[in-house]
Amino acid sequence: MPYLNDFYVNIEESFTRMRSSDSWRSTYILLSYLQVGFGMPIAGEFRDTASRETARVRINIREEEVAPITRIRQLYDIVKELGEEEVLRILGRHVKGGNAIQSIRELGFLDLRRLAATVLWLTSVLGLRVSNIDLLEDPETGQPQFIGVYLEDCNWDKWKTLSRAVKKQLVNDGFNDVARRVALICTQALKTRRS
Amino acid sequence: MHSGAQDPEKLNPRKLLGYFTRILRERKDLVDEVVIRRIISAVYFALFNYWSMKSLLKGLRGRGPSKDSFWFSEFHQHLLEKGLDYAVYTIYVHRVAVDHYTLNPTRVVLTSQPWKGEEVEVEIGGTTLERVLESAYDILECLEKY
Repeated sequence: MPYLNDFYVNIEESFTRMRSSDSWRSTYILLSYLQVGFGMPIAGEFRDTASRETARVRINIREEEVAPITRIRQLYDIVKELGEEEVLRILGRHVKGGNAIQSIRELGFLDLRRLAATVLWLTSVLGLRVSNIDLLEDPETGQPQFIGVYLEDCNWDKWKTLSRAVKKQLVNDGFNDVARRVALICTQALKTRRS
Repeated sequence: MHSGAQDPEKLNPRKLLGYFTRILRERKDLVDEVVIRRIISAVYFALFNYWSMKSLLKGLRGRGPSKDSFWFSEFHQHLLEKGLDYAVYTIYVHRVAVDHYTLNPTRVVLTSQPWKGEEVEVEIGGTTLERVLESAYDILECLEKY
């Protein structure tokens, strides 16, 4: 329900902000809209009133499936059009705590959009669970080493397979910078056997 | 230029890894925590030195008067691009643990600022050493082709 702050609301702009979804598998096309009238929602029903604080707008939309996204580059083409806040939100979903993303940005360690596209690819296309993103530093020099992308449900053999397969795909798609500066990490794999 | 006379294979740690593997397999009586700690540290630096030599001879220049001192990050990033994430992280986190942490098991944070960063539980023992050696051989195989 678009709220009327200034008496005018740009319906297309409001719809564009609402239509992004987490799945990236479909998009919504705004076909038409028709303003119904001013009023307000009361007890789950919209009542026409003299109030000009809210308006109900009827919209016609069509859902379209987009071509399945399988390549990182496809996701990057979408992500590079997003604003910085949205990119930070995508990455922030996977950060446990601390200010790793800010450090990555301040140091210019890796382009955040390329990192975000990669994380989206890992989670949305490969179906992996990313539990944290971190910037690992050498304890002796304090120099940043690589970005850790921590995966869950990952044993030693899966870690080996994923490492090679993901990096090969990154390099094939021209994401060598990401391949060099990101490490997929499965800490569970280090705990599986006890000496 | 000193590097012109250098043979990269003189720093190939294959014999060293073989020696450690034999100790682990045939002389378990000699393997205590001190030995394990020093083996893990030695393995990491042996691989790093081999990579450094090969990189130098390929024209990469480091720091120092002879430009032969490189950053760990360059070594790590070379291997990460080849998909050796599991090997790099395993050896690196255990190398930091054996050189900089005292308790066993311990929790390691790979950052200079301890209030941020993922904590990893590390145990230093025979099983750890097997994983480190497995990772080391995979890294070595990659470096021998470099």
